[in-house]
Amino acid sequence: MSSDGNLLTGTVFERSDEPAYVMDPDESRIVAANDAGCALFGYTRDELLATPISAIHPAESAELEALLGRVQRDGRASTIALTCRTKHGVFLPTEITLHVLELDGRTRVLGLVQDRSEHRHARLQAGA
Amino acid sequence: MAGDFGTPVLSEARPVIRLFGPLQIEADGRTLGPRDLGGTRPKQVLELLLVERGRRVPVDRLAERLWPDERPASVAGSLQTFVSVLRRHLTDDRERARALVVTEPEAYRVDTGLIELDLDGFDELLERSAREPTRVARASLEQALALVRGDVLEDEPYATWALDLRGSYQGRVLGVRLEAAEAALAERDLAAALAHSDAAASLDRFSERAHRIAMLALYAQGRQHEALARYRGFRALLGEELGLEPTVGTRSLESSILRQEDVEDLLPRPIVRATVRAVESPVQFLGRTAELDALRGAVGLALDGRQTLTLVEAESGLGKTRLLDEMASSLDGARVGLASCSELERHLPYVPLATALRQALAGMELDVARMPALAEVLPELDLGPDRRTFEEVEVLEALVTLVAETGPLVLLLDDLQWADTRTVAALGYLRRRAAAHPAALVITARPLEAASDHPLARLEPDTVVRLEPLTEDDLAPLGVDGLHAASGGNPRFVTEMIRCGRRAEPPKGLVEALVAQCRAEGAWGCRVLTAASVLDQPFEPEPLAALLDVDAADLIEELERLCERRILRIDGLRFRFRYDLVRRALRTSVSPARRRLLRARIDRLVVDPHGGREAMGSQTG
Repeated sequence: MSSDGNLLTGTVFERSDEPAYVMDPDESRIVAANDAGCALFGYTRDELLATPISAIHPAESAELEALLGRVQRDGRASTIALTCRTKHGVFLPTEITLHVLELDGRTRVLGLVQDRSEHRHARLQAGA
Repeated sequence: MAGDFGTPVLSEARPVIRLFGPLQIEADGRTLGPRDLGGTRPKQVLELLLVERGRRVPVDRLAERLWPDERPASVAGSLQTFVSVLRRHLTDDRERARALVVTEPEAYRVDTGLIELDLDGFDELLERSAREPTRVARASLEQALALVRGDVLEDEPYATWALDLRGSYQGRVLGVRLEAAEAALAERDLAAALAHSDAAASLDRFSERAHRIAMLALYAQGRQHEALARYRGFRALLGEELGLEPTVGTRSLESSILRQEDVEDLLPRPIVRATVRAVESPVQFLGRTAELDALRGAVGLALDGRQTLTLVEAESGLGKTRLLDEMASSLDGARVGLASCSELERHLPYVPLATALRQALAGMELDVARMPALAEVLPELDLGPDRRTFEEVEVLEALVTLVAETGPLVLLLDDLQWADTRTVAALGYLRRRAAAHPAALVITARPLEAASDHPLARLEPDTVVRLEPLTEDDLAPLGVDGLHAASGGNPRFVTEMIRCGRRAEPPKGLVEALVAQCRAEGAWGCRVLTAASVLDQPFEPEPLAALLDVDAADLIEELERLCERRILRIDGLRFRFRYDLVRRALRTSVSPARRRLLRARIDRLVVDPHGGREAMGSQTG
């Protein structure tokens, strides 16, 4: 786990039932996630932190790049046009809201993700 | 159902390429299928380029995907041949073919600006629907679904390079089905809601939302037994295949149906268009006397029969929007239209101009027959069966006629640096062609984004008003020591500090990031959100209105705007935060003392629902 791995410790996000992620926009990696965030994609935390964002959004690199550009310029951006691929290959329609933030002098992006289909199988795979 | 909703999305002025279902190309009056492109390889080359949506695709990557096992001796030569064959079959016009399929050093790409791709149309409609009120969103969603002829790249069922794109669009189509089902439910079109939810459940049988919408639609149709049977079927499916129970929300819906609760309390409400209106800020409008005078002078000239263009230039947070609000609210009796440009909409032609015109011309009868091209700006105008596509110059001339016949008009366009190019071009055209007609055009922009190469720089305004930070004298009426030093005279910071009464330092960390972005919704929006964060979720608008000492109808308008902004969502007859995390973050930002006061006020409202208005003002401002 990276030094960012404990970013959510002790915050309202850690205990939340809603998936939350902190991303490093330069490295295109998730650097922290709460339990709900891991469960949504069907990964363990270590697996998720080792998974590039491009594996969660295959075939959507242009859209994702545009979204990250918007959030870094405007501070906040949201979309319902992206899907997320779970570890088990299911593509979930999602609503993604991103917020840019500074943590210890580094730019990070907080991602809040909702599974718009409420697909139950993905969470089961993660044992949630 | 799709036939009920407007015109086709894809313009036939350019070649239409469809990737939903088997590949299909419509151009020059011909329709080409997967077998009409000179062979499998040329067809695959086109598909591989289209999958990349206009980006450059290196020869190596094309080769890797076309020949995953063994490459031919001359990859470059083979590809050149396939591209040549492809171009010949696409069109007889060689120049056009080379412009469509572009050769670059060691790469190829498709110029997506020259085609209409169904996937792009689908995405645009989906994204647009998230910002539209329910009725309009529903039309967008139906149009998106009308584009879906099957799975993406159906003619390449085994190609691994097609799998991710196909999967991604399967997810998107499912999402559109669910949104369409919920929108139909909100509009009480129960048959459509049921049809969409059934279609969604067939795409994803584990989608709990699909089954819940179907239960609601059945119950609302008076088919209680079928609604309960639907629940039992889904519960059995979850139990047998996944060993899971339905979630609390679905179980609770079953209970509501068993108790025969009023279905109106369970159905979602439609979001209606929030109107643009000047709202009272908790901080009085300070300073800006000279700037307001300059704007009033320009509008006065327009009312006297002249055209003026005024540019208000300022950095973010210095009060451009507030200045326009003040201006708009002070123009009683004039035809005033106010619109904000959004970067999300800059690819949509004329959106801000259309918004401002709709507001300025509300209630007027337009002679559409005299300026039919105006329908390109205001698509809701009914041109009857003879509707056609108009050239841009016809649209601009129609705008000139409109200004001449309906002026004086006052059009206030905020954040023009984010406007689409056609809106900016229309303003430039009006400057030249309608100079003798009465119109006051007032635009705002950020100076850095309106750089010299931006079309804005060529508008040549009559007057430029530059907003600077407020002075210490400007802030003196507030009577807050050290306020100017702490805020630097930035109106946004002043407003935040006055409202929150604490914390002059910039926000840090996760919670503060969310709070800051709620504040960006404006003083009124933030005040509503902050108070709502203290309420149990979901919350009814009436107690919140009493808590804020405002009219419930005004509050609901703002709540619906915040739903459009995707911060809140409608929950039956109530509202709730879209993300509970945001609510908790906001709640955390409220000082314990203020939170306690708000809770005490809520408790008193529960005991005496009519006692809220008098005492609330001093506690939430």
